[in-house]
Amino acid sequence: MSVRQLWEGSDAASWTQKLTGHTKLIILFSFAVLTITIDNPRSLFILFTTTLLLHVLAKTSLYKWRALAVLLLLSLWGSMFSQALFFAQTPRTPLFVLISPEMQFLGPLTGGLYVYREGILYGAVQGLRSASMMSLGLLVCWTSDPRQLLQALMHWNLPPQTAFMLVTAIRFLPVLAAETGEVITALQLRSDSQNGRSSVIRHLPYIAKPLLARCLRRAQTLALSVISRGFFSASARSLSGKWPGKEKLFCGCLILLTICIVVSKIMYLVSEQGLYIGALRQIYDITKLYL
Amino acid sequence: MLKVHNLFYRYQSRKAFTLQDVNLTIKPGEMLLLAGRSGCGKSTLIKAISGLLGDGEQGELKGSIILDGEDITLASPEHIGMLVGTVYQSPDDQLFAMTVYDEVAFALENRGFPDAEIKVQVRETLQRVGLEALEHNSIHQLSGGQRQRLALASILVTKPKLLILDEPVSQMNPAGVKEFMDLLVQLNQEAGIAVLMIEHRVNELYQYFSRLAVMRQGTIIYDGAMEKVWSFLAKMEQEEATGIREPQTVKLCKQLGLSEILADKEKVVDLILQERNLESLIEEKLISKATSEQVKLENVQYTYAGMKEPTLPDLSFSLFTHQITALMGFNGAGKSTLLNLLGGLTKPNKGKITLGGIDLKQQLNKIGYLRQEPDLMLLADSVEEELSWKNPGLSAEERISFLEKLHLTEYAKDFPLALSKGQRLRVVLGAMLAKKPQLLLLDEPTTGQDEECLKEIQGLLLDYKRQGGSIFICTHDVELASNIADRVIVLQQGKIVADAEAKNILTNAAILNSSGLSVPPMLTLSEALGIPKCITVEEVSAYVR
Amino acid sequence: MKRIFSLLLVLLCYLQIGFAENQLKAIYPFNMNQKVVNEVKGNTTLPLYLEIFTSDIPKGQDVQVSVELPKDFTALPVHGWEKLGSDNTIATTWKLPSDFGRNFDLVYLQAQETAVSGEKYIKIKATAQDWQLKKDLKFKFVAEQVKQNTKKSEKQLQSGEVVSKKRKKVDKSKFNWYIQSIVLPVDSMGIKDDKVADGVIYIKDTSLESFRNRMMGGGATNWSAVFAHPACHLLLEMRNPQSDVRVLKFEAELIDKATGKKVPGLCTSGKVNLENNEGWAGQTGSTDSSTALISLDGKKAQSFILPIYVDYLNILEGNYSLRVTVSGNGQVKITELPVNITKKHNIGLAMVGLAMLAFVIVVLFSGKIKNCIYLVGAKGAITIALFAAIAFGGITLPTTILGDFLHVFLGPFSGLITGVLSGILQYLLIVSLVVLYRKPGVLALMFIVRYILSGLMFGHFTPISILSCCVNIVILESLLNFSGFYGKKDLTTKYMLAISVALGIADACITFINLEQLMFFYRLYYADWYLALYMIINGFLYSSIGAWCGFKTGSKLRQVMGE
Repeated sequence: MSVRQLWEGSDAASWTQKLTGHTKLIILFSFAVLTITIDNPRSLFILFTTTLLLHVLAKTSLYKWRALAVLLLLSLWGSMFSQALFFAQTPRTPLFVLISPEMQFLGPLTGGLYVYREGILYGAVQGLRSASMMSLGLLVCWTSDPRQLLQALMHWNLPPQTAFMLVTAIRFLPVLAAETGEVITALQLRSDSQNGRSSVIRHLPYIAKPLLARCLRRAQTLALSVISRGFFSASARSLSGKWPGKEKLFCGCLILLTICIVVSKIMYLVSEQGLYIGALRQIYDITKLYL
Repeated sequence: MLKVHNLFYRYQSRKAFTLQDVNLTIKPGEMLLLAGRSGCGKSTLIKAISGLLGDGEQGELKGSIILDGEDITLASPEHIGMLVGTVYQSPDDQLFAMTVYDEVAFALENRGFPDAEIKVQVRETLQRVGLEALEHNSIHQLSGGQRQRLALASILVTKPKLLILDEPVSQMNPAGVKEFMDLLVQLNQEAGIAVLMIEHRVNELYQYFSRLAVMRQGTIIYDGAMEKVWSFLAKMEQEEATGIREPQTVKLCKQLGLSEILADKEKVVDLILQERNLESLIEEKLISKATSEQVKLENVQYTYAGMKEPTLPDLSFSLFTHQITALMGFNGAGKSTLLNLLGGLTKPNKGKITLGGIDLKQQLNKIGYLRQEPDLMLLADSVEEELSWKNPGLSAEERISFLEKLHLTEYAKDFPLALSKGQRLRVVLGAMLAKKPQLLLLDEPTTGQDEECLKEIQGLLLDYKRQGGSIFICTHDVELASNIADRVIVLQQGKIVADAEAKNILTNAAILNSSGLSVPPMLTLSEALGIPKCITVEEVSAYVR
Repeated sequence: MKRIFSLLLVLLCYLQIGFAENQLKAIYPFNMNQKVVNEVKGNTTLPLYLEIFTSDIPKGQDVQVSVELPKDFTALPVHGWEKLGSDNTIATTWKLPSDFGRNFDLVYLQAQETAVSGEKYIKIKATAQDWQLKKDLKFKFVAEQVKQNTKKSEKQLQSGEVVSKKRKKVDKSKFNWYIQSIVLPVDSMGIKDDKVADGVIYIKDTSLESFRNRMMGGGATNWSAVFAHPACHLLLEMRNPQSDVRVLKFEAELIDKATGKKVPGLCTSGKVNLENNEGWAGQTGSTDSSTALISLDGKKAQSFILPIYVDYLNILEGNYSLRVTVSGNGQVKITELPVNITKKHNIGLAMVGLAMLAFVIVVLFSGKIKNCIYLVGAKGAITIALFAAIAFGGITLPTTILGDFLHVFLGPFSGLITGVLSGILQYLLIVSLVVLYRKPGVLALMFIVRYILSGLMFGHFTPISILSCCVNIVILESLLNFSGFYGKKDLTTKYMLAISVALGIADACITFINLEQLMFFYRLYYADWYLALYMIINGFLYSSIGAWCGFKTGSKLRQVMGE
């Protein structure tokens, strides 16, 4: 499995590929808002499992599942690890002492560093937020061509010049990667030591100049080419990418739901500060129990 | 169609005018080849015609440019873009979109054409350049030749009246050049598009153009029939080089001092037969033989990860000191893979490679490897630093001597990446040679270089060979191979199909044709003259009295 | 029948009297640890604890409590108690409530210098109208010198010989307990946090307590819990040269430095009426001071970790004197120390607000950013796009993937490694780009392109990433604008060095804002030192180095720009 294969969406279920970029971006953004709005661990877990369910429905291939699993586990681990160290609620139970408060220099500086049991759990729950976004983000990438998403952005008034810049950046990503590899090879070839011939890290500081110089030369040629092809006369216009009515309706409902959840959460928080409206009691209850 | 009248242009950052009193006229449907040294002002002239001198430039422009009856001297590039299309040297640098369709449609989308019309026009244009089947393909999936065609299509879609091509074939192999030029001629004949091509590889293109303009120091010094240019250039060369790569037949005429200087082989043959006597047998000069084995490959096999078939199934050969070996063959024959193995960038799956009898892995610092993109090998802030880069053994005196040899003394403190293309190549080659490698590997070193630069490179390589170096050069350039190579190895599908003295291989038309290489002009000429097979001008001259 | 009924009634009355239970409890010497000591050494002052527990008494009544002390023992004056005649007896009257009641008091007793070692008795008598309770306490008194002597002294003690006459006169300066030192703040274990300056009391900002509580996933704000949580602890070190066993009252008050008057701000632990839930903010205990009882247990040196409670509704930030008063058995010891009251503000929320402001600014200036494309031309726009692509491929991509892997080994510190890319490389690209194209908006365009690129390639379209991108744009563009970078004719080495440092500082701020945002939105915790570490290394150090390299690279690349 190559990195390129991993990033291409050709093996995804056809319905996900047919879904327009508009819909995908709205789903993505709604989920992003929901993950930071919702506090209830169960609801967060449901959001997370929903993204996984979407992967199942999109027929994400096995090797992509593997990649997803690794990335999700690493992400959750990251959250658990950091919260295990920095958990600041009580009660908290230290499992290990990493830096004793008595240790010279680091001890007084950090005030001691412990791995807290409660922090691990807390980190796992809070990590569901970033894990949900990672899972859904990858789903969108694996099921869409960047152009599809770009069309949606242009539909929503992204200036064509900015769109052009984005397309250029995407188009030249693999070229730049290859050139970076080429510069590293050059550095290896010009190295005077046996180690330098195989090392990559030691050459990294010298990559910038040849790579950026190449970019400038390329920019020169490409600029000449696109100006004569009317780069600056381009005006924002709706592209051919259509947004089917059914998808529009679905997105409308999703946005409405997201807004409702955010508003109910805000109302609930406001009620706690004293602005309690009796008629909204059921909403307060739902918010308290599920959000 | 186009009339450039008394055109002057000075860049804001310069005192002198880059274009000085340029006058040029192109008739509708005419094909004109514009040649000249790097930095003579060709690119500035193209920019002026395309209206691109305004982009970030605030220079001084005088004179007028009339296109199709309209004064476009100060018109916007977008407006001019509808009339003039420009294709640049590297297709990779002028294609920005992700798919073939998007690239071709870009110009029409920007001009607000309706979607339906864009679709029709794009299909039609792709059909004209032979890419209709690749409409929805990613640009990354196209070959070099297809990309150049796509670059052409992205311009043709606006149906320009004048097509400007800036060194479009400089990076192509001979087969690719022929294919592209045939397409261009077809477009010119069928659609009546006027063509202005800039290229210094006149030796490969003269047959497609009836008219040539030569530029020097911002002025057009010659504008006339192709067949008459050679005599003119011969005279001019006495003053200053024009950088034009002439056909070998022209060089032969000049070398033999014939009454006329011609490019056409048959006419040159007739002229030689008329004016000179031929010797059927001459004493062959002793070619300096390789003194000792330098590199040895034994049963080397290499298979890329994920591939079933090996790219190099079983290779065994040796390279010798005091020898230049040219590696030739089709694209994909395994030439670059072999160079990477010799350069130590990859390791063979099977077999053994030794340098000076020791395993290559332990001798990597004794190898110099000049890759195809020399720009990406420039790493330092000045030319002298570049020569000394990771080279503690280079003394100050040696560095000065190298700078002189490379004709770069006055640029010693300059930023290498800011030098001209030829100079940049020389800096990298110099940095390689400064390390005094036992084996020098070169991958297509002459791509896009003008005649003068080519000569300088050849001189450096021959000098290195004389000092006992072993050079392994991968090239499509038969003329270069015939000029400097002692030995040629032809690779086909990872196997050596020919390995012999350069002359033996380059005089074998069957091998050359089967390997996608062009037949050296001197070979056919020598056959026509009835003298033993020759590949260089010097060899033919030796038989002519 | 009537007789039987009357008999039953009388019996019931007797039964009720029989059920009524009155207990007299007395402990000497009393200590808060409830240990039975039964031994008094030297002329220490020790409390006698007296308690009468009554139940089922039909109506309130007075009870006369008298304590007959051993010879050569005196009682220190206590409110309500008086000495009776020439006897060594003290007495008081307690009012017992009806039904159930518990009356108690402490009387401090001290042995005279003339007291001799031996067994002593305290006789306690409680006399009510209908009943009387008596209790005799026996304890062993050891005159001070005895403990310095050998077995001989013990023998003398057993034989009742008088040894006290030979004792030295007690040094009055060491006569009793005193405050040795006060350390503030300490944690609940009494450990001083060296990161917190002496005398600083951090109090949390409760103005958004409810909101924060919800965000943390807790329920509605439990104000009593808020008030019952001490703001900090104080370590009180007491010296007790006479080894007294004594209960003392501790009181901490805030004193205005200028006027020397007591000011509100401290309180005792919070109370709330849990039955009727009255008082949303809870009812604090005694106002204006934190009080506690401490018990000297006879050791010569003793430390106490005492909570300081804060009245969040009344306290004001500022510099005060903290007056600590320890009192008991007629003695009062006072110490004052300077304190600084500092509120911990809702930094996270403030930073999110700042980020949102940055977002609004970017939206307002979006037209200008778009115009920048025309200013730099197609070549500039493509250069920006290519730089953004390098930034994405060289920073976003590896930090996302490599960062996760490094997390496994380095945890939250992996950022210090990936920061080499996000710090050095990012600023190298940014500064070299703005050196090539010195126009406002170039930097913003690069960030926007990179942001959308990572959105398109990774699905990173999240509110946090938008805000973070806007914070970068606003802070860096503002810095370059206000520092005159865009208008400067020549970029001298000195000037660019200053700009590199300024960019480093700006990035430290950006790092702080972004981490605070992350903490706010993802409800994460990071220690202050961790934030500081990231700000200094990832923010300042890496970015300054990157900016300087960027200047050097940009200056060289300008020569490549050509015509």
